[in-house]
Amino acid sequence: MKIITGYALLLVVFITMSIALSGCGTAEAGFNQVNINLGEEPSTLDPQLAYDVVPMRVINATFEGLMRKDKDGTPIPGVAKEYVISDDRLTYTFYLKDDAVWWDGTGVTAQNFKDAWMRALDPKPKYHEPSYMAYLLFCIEGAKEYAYGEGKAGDVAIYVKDEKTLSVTLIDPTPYFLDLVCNSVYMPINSEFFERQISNDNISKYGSEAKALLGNGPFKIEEWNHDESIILTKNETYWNSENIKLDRIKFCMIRENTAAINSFKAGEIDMVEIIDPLLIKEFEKSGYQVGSYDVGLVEYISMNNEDPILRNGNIRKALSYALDRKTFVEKVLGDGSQEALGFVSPMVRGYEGYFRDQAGDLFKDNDVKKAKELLAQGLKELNLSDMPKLSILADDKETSKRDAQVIQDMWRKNLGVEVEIQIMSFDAMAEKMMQGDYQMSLLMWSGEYNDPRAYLEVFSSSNYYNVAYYVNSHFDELLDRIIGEKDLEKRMSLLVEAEKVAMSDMPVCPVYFAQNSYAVRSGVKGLVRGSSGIQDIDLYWTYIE
Amino acid sequence: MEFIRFIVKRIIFFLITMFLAATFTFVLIKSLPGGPFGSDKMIHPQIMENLNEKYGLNEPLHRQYIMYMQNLLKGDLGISMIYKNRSVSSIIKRAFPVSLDLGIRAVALAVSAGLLMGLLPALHNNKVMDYLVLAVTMLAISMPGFVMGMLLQYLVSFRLSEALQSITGIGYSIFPITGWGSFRYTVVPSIALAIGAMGMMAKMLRAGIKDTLNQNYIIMSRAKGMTHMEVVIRHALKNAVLPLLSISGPLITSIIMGSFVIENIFSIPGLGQYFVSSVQDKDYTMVVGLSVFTVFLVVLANTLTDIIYAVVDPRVRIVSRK
Repeated sequence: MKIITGYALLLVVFITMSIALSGCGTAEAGFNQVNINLGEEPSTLDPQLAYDVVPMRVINATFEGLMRKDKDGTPIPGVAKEYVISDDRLTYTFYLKDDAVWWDGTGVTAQNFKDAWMRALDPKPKYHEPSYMAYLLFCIEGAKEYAYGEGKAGDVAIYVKDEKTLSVTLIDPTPYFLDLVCNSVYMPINSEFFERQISNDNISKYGSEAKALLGNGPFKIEEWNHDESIILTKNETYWNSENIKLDRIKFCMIRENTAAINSFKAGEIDMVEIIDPLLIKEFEKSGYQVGSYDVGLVEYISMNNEDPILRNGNIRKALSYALDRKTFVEKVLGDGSQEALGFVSPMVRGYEGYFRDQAGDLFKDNDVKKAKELLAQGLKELNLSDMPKLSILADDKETSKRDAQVIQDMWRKNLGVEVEIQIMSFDAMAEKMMQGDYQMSLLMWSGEYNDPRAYLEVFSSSNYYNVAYYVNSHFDELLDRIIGEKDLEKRMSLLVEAEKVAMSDMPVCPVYFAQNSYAVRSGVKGLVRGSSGIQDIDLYWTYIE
Repeated sequence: MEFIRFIVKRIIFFLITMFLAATFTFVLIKSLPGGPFGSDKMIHPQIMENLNEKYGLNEPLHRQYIMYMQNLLKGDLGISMIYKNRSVSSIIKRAFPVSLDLGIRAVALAVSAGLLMGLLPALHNNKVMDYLVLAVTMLAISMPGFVMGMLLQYLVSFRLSEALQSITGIGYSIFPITGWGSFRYTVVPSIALAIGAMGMMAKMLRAGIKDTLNQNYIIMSRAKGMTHMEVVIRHALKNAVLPLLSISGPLITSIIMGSFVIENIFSIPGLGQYFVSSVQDKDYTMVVGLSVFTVFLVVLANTLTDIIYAVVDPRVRIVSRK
């Protein structure tokens, strides 16, 4: 008995101690702060080197390009106060705002943009690795040649007209250029500051520590505790700072979704990603704001068009028509994802309105009768009596395994086709696909910019990532015409036609357009989640009610 | 002389182990498909070539190996290929102290609670207590770390904190769910990390004491008129602790090197996650750097354990001299 009392006493001491020793941590009242989960440590905050969504969430708040994205994702002037597009749509001239300054108060100049863009294109940068995202600048004249080491830096058509005027010449009329300019890789760099971050061993610390970063965005970086948190405070020198409501942003790095959800429920973070659709209802009931947004991802089954069986178009179509995508998105996903009856994501804009509305559905699915007919016809064309067992590759993510199983089941039930699922790492999958050593694989595609071309390009026979090995000269010719077309309306109708041509061959089998769900604390308003990487979490308009 | 020979032998052994570890990891990680750049992002082939050139990955394998070993000899672990412009040693330098901090707390907790629980049944000489301890230790050993971590996170960090918050009326959670900072952040993860090792220690100690209590010299001490408590503490415990020492080296290093699972669940900025993420990302320099660092620590810990063992148990010393 005595011992038990002793233990009880110990516990009491322990708890009081932990209460007494607890530090600060919570925000004062009336102070506008949001706590956002980044998910993991950003690999860098250098805008030219960042390539995934995690650093871009921070870069969007700390930097500003010539253009930035509005709440609905359309480009609006950022550092540029206005821009002029030449009649041939090849030359863009940007006039910079006079009051656009860096955190330290020095003005943002046209040279800052040229330096940044040239830095991204540099094939052999001295103080850091070459930029992954350089290809987003390849629409600029001379850029590709320079980045590939075949051209000269002087031939890249970026011209500083004066301190506040920048002009760029493109190789083709690129209607989505303003959209590109919003990207991380297009953010400016303060070269003098950058030079100061180079250490003795010829490594630039730029973007790897809080104090090794100089931005021009609405927030500035206060602390970066690696693997733990990044703290941003409002930048008073920002040209539009009067309209920025938040005083402080704390980004934390919770990797486990379960932990993040507990953290969210306990009030430690203000927004959480929802992976399990069952939680959507629970959160709605508890009074949180639940939202979902299109991330521009299309999940599809890539089919090897050179495979002896899948070479047959009727078999590919049969497989695609036999899927019940409605059941898939409603019963399996249940997070607002949409059935894909085309390849270009619904968030892609067309010529006035959205592309998908213009292009419509390109085939009918869950049509078992038609699918069976096509299968029989395909087998006859191949001189086969029955369908051999097929195989599909899927990466080792939980969602991919689940999706592959659902697809396997639908094919077995609706078509009587047996498919073996092979789970492996994405790298192993990529290696097999690049060698053409596969039948089918479950993949995701997302365009790097908001234009149908970013999706359709994957079907071009010259495209490196055309792992379906689809070749259609009519399609290639259409794509070539699109690139040179100056009339935007005509260009869009060519794109609609191109998608139709590709989908009539069904080189791949689209499954669904993915949506991400998330919950936000009820007092936090104006938090934007956009479809592009740079705008994945946008706190520009966020305020606390 | 004996001692110097012992040390020299150890050092040679140590260097060979380090060399083999670095070589094996190098070969293994290079044999995985893919590379550090763009594992989930397709990169333009020409840009990929520039990247490979930057990091010397376009050289033939043996050249890369020689280059890497030369740098290693200079004490340079290289630059991470994922965390841009950060050296591997700077990442270890920052993250390891956190893992060490958490590890020391967990070890202290595991040792004290483990010894206490192992001793309890012998001290009380009580069947119910014995079964209770047995049940608890078995549960502690067999429950995987991620289950224990998530359970404690939910029950203690979330539910208990919430309850205490409403009782005491303070405006923050007493045991935060994630993060690392003041004392209250460390409590739950330390417990979660300690539980497995604690169970192991308690179980071995309990069995050891039970075993020694049946020895002749114990009956002899009892016959001398010593109390039960004295017998257990003075005689039985000393012998029963020996097998514990031999497992404590690896056990403690594994705790201190950072637990991927616990650090991940509680979002602790330690080294643990890098062991997994660096392999997944094929961050070549990071993988080899981490394994060299780990081998260094493990060999160090094992050597220390050997020495302590020799001090505590004279029999070992005699054997090693022969």
